Amino acid sequence: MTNFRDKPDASTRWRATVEALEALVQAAPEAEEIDPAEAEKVRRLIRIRVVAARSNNLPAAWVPRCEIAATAETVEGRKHTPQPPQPRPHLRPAWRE
Amino acid sequence: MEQHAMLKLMPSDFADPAESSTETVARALAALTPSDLLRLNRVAQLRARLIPGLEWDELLNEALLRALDGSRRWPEGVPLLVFIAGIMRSLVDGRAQQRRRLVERALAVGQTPAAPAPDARLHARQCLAAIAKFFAGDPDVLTLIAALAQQHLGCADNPAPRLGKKRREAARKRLARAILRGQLDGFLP
Repeated sequence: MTNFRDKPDASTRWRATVEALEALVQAAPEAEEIDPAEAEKVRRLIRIRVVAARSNNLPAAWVPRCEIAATAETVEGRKHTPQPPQPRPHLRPAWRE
Repeated sequence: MEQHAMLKLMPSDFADPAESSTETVARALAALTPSDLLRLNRVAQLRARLIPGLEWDELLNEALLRALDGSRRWPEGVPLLVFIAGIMRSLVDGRAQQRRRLVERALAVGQTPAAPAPDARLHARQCLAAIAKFFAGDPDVLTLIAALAQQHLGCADNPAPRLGKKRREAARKRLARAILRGQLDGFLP
């Protein structure tokens, strides 16, 4: 296909060709016909990666959602079961003139 | 040459001093248009063709992982597509080196010349032949591909000027269209 003066091997020529074609794709104007399925495939890949990266970056103090739900259920259950009398909370004295 | 809108996406467009690099990259990725996504797909497909058996989605996935986890920083002034393409390039280079080392180790003990693995060379020959066959009816495109590849190799003998500006631009458009439509990818081994 190509007439290189100093005849580099096929791997070198193929690599240079890929570099050239890649640069062409990057610089080409807007693609006219876009297959939505192809674009969606890349979008899905990105979405999966972003979700995974965000979950890995949560601070240690953050509690996973399922754990929060489990705690809420326990609190809900506790409301219906009779509880021993609790000590009254300490009230602040009211301001008197 | 006209610059694509995606090339204008820079870290400063998305960066917030209070947020992590993960968020900066994530927001930039979310802003990509279907056309940008297709471009990213084609770049990954081309790059993956340098390693026989490597799938484009595997390569893109790995590159996204590095960009999002912060192990590769998105430098200021570098467009998003160039940044992701650069990660894919270094991943492929790393894998090619690994393959060479394995072949060298398997071939001999002692001095073995650092050359691409035999199947990689065969694969490269097949890909070059496939491109030549695909554009057999369009010699201008073949001349352009040769010229662009020679530029990357730093060769002085550039056949592109022989085409003339008008024919060169027309060939460039036909070549870009064939790649963006995925016609070339379907033809490559």
